[in-house]
Amino acid sequence: MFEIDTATDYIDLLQRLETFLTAKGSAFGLEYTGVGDGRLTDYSGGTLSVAETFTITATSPTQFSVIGSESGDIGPATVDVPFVDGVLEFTINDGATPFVAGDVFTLSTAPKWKSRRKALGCRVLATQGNAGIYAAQNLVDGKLTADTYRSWRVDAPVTIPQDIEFTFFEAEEITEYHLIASTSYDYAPKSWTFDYWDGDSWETLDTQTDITGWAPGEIKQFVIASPVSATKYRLHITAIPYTSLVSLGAIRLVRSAGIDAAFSQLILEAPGNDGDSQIFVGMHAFERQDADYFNWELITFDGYNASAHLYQQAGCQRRLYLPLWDASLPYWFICDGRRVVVIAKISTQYEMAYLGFFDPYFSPQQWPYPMAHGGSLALTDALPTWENTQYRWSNSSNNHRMPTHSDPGTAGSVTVGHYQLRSRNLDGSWDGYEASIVDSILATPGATKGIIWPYRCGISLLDTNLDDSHTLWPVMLCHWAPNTLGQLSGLCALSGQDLTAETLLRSGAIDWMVLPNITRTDRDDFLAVALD
Amino acid sequence: MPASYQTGISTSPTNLLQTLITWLIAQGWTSDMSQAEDDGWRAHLHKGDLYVNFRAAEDEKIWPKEPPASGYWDSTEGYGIGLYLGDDHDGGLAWDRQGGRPIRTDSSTSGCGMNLPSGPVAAYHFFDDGEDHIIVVVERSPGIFCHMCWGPSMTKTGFSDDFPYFSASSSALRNTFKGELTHNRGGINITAYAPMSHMDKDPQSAGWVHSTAFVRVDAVTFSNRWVGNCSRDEAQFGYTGRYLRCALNGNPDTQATCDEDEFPGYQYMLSRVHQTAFAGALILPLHCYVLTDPGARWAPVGYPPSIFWCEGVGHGYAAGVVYQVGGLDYMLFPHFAVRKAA
Repeated sequence: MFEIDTATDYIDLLQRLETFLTAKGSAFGLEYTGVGDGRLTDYSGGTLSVAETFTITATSPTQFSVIGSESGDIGPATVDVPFVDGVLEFTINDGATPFVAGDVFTLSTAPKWKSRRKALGCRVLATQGNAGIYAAQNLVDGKLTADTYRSWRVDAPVTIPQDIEFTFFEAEEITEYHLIASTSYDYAPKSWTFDYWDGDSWETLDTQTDITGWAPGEIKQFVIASPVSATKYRLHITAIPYTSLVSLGAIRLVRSAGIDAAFSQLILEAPGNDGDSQIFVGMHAFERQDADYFNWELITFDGYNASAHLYQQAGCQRRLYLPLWDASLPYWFICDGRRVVVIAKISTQYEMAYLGFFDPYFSPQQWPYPMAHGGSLALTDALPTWENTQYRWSNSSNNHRMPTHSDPGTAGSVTVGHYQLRSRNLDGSWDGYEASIVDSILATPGATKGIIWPYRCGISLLDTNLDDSHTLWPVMLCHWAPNTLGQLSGLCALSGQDLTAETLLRSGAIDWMVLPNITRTDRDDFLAVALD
Repeated sequence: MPASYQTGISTSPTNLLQTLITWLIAQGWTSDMSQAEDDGWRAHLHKGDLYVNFRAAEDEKIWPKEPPASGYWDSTEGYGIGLYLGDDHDGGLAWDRQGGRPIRTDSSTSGCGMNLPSGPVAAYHFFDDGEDHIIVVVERSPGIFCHMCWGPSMTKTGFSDDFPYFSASSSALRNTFKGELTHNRGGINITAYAPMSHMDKDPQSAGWVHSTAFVRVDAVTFSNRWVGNCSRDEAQFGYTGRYLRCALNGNPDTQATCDEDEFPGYQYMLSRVHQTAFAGALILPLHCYVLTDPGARWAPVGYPPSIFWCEGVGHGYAAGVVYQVGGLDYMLFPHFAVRKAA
């Protein structure tokens, strides 16, 4: 199923995605055979969807039976009237040629996804130190250990009192807070209050005085005796050990169940198209006002542990991004029970995430967890520090490409973090795939490089079909083991000849939407996404 | 007509051709002519409006040049079966002059064929998928295969008319070649490369490839209709006036000579399409393309529906093994797989 709408900003987009995936089951795989040229539209699962296939058969020009392989007869459906059931929803629109008895749509469903963890995070503003390498937003980046270049630091003159204010995107009840020393541990605050905003004034939840003896990266935990729900909190620093500098590595604002609510995180569990799978994907929304970027980090997991940090979930694969902005975002969400595709439009540019299974060329017994990890910004494993504008959607380098057009950005030594498209190996390791190297396909791929067919083999002079239609080519992941693992689900390659962004190409009962490779519009820089 | 598969042993190119004719007639083809010619045999059959023309060579050359030029395109007298398609039969015309033939730019006939030994072959395999797509695979000596195939239409990718096709493991240049080879030649001293693919390198230059596959497109696309997969625009390579390209160029001697970087091709997948994590091999369509004019780009013209690129043989599977994918049977040969519908 798919949803097309506009989000107000990158956080709203995250909330909408969670709702899209978890409110109803998915419906997908629409096919049609028949005489009438009307269409089945607006299809989704319902709140009670299970894994099954529906056969929707015309019994007259205006009536259809609706038979589920598990649910049985849940019809009838009437043309031009929305059909709503607990397991399936759709509308059949009449066309120029009426339906005749026997015309048949088929559609599969899967249960709705589950939201395993959701924290939208917060925006951080300190009295000083809100820009540059040591900006206060560094405090909520989910770091696991002290990081010299991702801490908050203010050099003299340091204003005292010094406030670090946290504005949450939705109300949170903070039950404890953790201060983590930076590598400049001697300069951690000494005395402070921890306050919340009640709408009129700051109210103190906790007071600490003469806290000293910090070690590098040390975590000091403070429990709030009487937690309240609020959207704004602050650390109100009243004393520091030295006037020359104040620094902290991170601050965790912990809600019940031990989750750091200041650190944005969404963990979702897909049911599989069989309804019996557990497929884990996640997102971490993060921003830097000074660098003017507002992004998602895209993550996949092998499993889920309710008490574990986002980055310490089993098989966490990350460092891949969806560049967004803090303004209106037209979007397209497409999902089935195995994967989700997110497309967002920024100005005239399109960004894409692919999270979940690809369609493997192995049986489920052979390859039980065929996970793909795709995003349109990959900045290597040695990430730039957070103030760097490479994270911005305007990045024009080869780090910024559609997953189908993944490019390590260098012909030299690379790691999986260089690629916009990656897949999980049988042993849980990951490898990346290239569609080009520095935007060129001329060099023969290295013997240990995964390639994306057909892009890596070149389609620069691929024309339209002879009738001016377009052939849709599967996007295959060709590992070097050798093993060609499979193909991306619902994404195809095509010639960009005579195409522009958002052109819809009809194939069977489904529309495919054409997208360019970010800002690139050569003939080989297009892909198509099934709106199914 | 139901699908069919037949295997056996033949004693000579003429015997193989006669055996094939008998089988084709059983499959519903009409024989327009089947008779001795010189030391060999010619045969012309049709089914519907698809005409197939054969010539078994018994120490002969069979592909004449266009008068006033004299001689033949064949490099030597030798043994084999020549093949081309047309749209008519006239018993008063020579075997190579039938209506609707592929015409080289010098007006002689373009085609291809199987190079064969003079005597028995280890085995032949005839396949009909039930839709008149025919492939003949011959194990000319143990482990060395050659082939020829034809059918009424490529699988359609954005065109409405039928696009008939034919292909064989040797170009007209080596259809009947006999003698010592100084290089490896698919279908002669090593096993053949996949049908429709670029495979037959010219003896003079690495970049020169002779036609071994032809597709008949509609007149709007190309008024002379037949397009072939040679690399040079000269009659000696079988050039008909417009290029055909295949996604596969599996012959190391011809790679990087046929515009491979310009359309969806398999050049960088040559060692990647068999599976090592578990036994398995991909079965991939042999997509073909025609050069457009105007445009000078490559438009898809489909793929043969019953023949596929497959590297299973040598990677866990033996030639002749029946491999099942998606409930369908395929017989594996080196470099390709054939849909075995019966």
